[in-house]
Amino acid sequence: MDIAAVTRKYGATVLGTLGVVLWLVALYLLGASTENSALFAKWLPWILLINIAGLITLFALLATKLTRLVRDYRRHVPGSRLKGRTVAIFSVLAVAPILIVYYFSLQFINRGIDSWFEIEVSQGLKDTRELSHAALEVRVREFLQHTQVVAKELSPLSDFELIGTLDRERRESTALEFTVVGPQTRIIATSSDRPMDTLPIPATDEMMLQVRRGRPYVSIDTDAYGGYVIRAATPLDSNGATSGARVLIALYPVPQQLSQLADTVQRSYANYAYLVQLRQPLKSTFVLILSFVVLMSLIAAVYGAFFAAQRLVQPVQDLIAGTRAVAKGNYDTKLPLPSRDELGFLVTSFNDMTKRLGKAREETRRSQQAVEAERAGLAVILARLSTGVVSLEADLTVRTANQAASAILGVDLEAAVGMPFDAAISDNTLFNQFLSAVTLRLGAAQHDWREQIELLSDSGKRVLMCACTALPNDIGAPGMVLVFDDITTLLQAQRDAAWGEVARRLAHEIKNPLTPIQLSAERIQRKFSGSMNAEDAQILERATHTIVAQVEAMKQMVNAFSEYARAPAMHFSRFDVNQLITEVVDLYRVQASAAELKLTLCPTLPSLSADRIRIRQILNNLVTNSIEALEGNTGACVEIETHLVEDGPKQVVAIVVTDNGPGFARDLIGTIFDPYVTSKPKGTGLGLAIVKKIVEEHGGRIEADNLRTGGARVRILLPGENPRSVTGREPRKTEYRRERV
Amino acid sequence: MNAVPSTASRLRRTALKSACAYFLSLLLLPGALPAAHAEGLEGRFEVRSADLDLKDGVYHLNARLELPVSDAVRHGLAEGVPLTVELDLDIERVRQLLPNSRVAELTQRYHLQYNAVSARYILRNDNSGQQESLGTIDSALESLSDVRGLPVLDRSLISSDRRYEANVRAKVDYGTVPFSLRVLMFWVNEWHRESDWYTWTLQP
Repeated sequence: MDIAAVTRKYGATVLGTLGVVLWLVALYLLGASTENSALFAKWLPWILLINIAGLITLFALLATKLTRLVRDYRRHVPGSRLKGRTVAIFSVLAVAPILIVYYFSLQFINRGIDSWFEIEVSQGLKDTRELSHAALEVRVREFLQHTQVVAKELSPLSDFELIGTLDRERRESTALEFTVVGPQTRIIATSSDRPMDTLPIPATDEMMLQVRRGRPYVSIDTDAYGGYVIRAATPLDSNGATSGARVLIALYPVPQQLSQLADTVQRSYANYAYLVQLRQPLKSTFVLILSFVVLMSLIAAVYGAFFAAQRLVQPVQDLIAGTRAVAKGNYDTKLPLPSRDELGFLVTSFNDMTKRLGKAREETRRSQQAVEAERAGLAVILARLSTGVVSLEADLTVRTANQAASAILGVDLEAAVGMPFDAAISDNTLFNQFLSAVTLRLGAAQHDWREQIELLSDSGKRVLMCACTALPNDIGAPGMVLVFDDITTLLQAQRDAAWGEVARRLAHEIKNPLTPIQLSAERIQRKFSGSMNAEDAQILERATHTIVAQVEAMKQMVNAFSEYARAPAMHFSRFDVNQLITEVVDLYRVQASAAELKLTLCPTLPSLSADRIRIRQILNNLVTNSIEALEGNTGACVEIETHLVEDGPKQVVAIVVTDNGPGFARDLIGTIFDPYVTSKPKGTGLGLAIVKKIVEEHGGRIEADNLRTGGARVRILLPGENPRSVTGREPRKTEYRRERV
Repeated sequence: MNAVPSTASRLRRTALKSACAYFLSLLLLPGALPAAHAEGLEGRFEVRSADLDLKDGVYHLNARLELPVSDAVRHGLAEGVPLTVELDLDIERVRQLLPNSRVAELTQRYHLQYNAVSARYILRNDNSGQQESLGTIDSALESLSDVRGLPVLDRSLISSDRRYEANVRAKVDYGTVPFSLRVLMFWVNEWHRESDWYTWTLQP
């Protein structure tokens, strides 16, 4: 693990721990600062700042937690109510003892500090002061009297005489200094025993004011060295109240022992005053710090309550979230294991349960996927089947239908899924005939049957092979399935094959004897006509002529059959089909046909790759058929159209020949391309059969039907590229195609 | 007959009230304490007048202070609580475009304390060590607030063609409350005050 990852993982924890340690140290120093203010005075602002920052941080954290809890509570977040109750209980349990301790601590602070200032102590100090003062007062009075006596003795002396007398008087007394001052406190004479001080003690304004008022002045003062002295002043002259009178100022020492005692009393008194002054600030400070600590403890306790509640509630919240996730189908939910206690057991059980559920769901999903895949495959198979498959409910509601069913019946059965089978009834007679045939069976409660159903459509007779099977009851949905296939083309192909065989046999078995018959008849005529009389010769001639004519007719018939049966070599070339059509039609116009020939040719038609001669034969047959069908009709018209049409993925050339004649006989329309099917008295019945054969040899398709407005229509679809010319393969002689109506 | 509450119950009630008051003050704003303990310096504190008097080639400072002395302070002084006044004097030469240059700087400290044994107020000049004994608090405060003839600057240091500016500020400390207590109760300004600067132009 690199340093960056370690920093990311443990950075916040280390910083938080350092912050808490720093804060606790600052808290300790805050308490210690009240005991040793000098030591922490320098750092106190920082200590205070750290503590306030810690308090604000803790308060912000608590406020955040509280806000989040209230928000979750209002939003009914799972676990929030339990968490709220747990926090409340823990908070009360933690806060109550702290408040009790706080209350009694306040009492102790008040009592403890107040006990320093008991009345007895204060009174004792005052009494001591008074005692000290009284002890000094005796000395004061003595020295004042002594000063007054000296002043009386010095009173008569002149200023000059005072100088010598003053020194003597001082030596005879215990005074430290005698000084006589005159007007404006000018020193007249002085005598001092204070070697350290060169100047006499000056007269103060207070002193002089009192003396000038005629009252002696005396005071106890401290000197510059901390000792006590007594200072007295009295006027020398009897008229001492005057401003110009002389004043004697005396300075007396206080005995050293008494001075020391007085100093001790003074210091004690001053210390007591110091304590008295600190009384309220100390109480306030102690209470402040205590309240500060208690407040932080309270916030920390409530924060701790949040932390503990979160630890307790988190697994429950995880379980709730996990349960909801499972309810939504997310079986991959795996809850973290909180501990190895009962909650841990619960979480483990939950994880096991979700794991099993997930496994079961996965198996179900796989099975479902397999079924779906199978169903999809079946649907694809059904869609690609040329056989129509329709499954019906028991009440004949269409359950499924494939494309082939819709194509065969000419209705959109897939759109009718979920609707009754007969809801798809339209003007499509094919479907209506099919429905009638099927419902006839189903109405008779026949669910397992097989039948060939013949339907009549505009393009002829259609034959469907239909089978119905009841669905087994064990699939849970009773019903039946209809399977049907259009076998019209198959039957047609079978007929074509049979007719081909007949034609080939006819050509082989009949054509061979015809030439000897004809030659024999001609020989008979040549040999015996000369030897017979005229009447017999005439009879012979008529007979042989009849024989020859009939043989010739039979030859033509056999040749036609031969033409139908043989598969000549195809000579493919690329040519313009429009031009070929024009050429063929021009020939008929030259013959001054009674019918009008009308061309509607597509100018963008691509060139056709086909056997030009055989395509010409097709066109000749079709035009001839139409003209012959229109004989005797007024306003007869034959129209030939060409156009390009989409036939599945490729484009094919469509040649449509229509006329306004009587059309195909309805009973013949299904077999119109069969040999020997004709409505003309002189027709061989092979024209359309040959046309169909040539078209199929080109890989094309031919359809014939009657127009609703009257007349017949033959539609030929030819591929632009002939399959044999492209691939070199033989064209299919027989092709089964599902025909659309 | 009403029962006289005992000392213990009084203390309990006081403690309870104090607890509530301190908690409220902590939770709201620290504003309750000063009101409850306004027993220190109170009132206006300023240098009312000041000038420099040239005498014998030396400038002497004369200043008049208005001290923030309340009755509680007077009482405290009478009980022995000291009062300290500190004078800060700055004399600067006024310069154009440039900051003023300091010519002289002086801090003078006075200490007033009651001596309970002698029943006298002792006013001591901490710089010189000279002290004055005064019988009443009024005379002591009067003497403290009236600074006369304090030598501050030699005339030779002053150039007659320059302009000078003198600034005086006073600080007063009541009692000897430790700094830590002052910091802890920083919002209670009853032990230490500072006046604004009193400024005047010195004419050599």
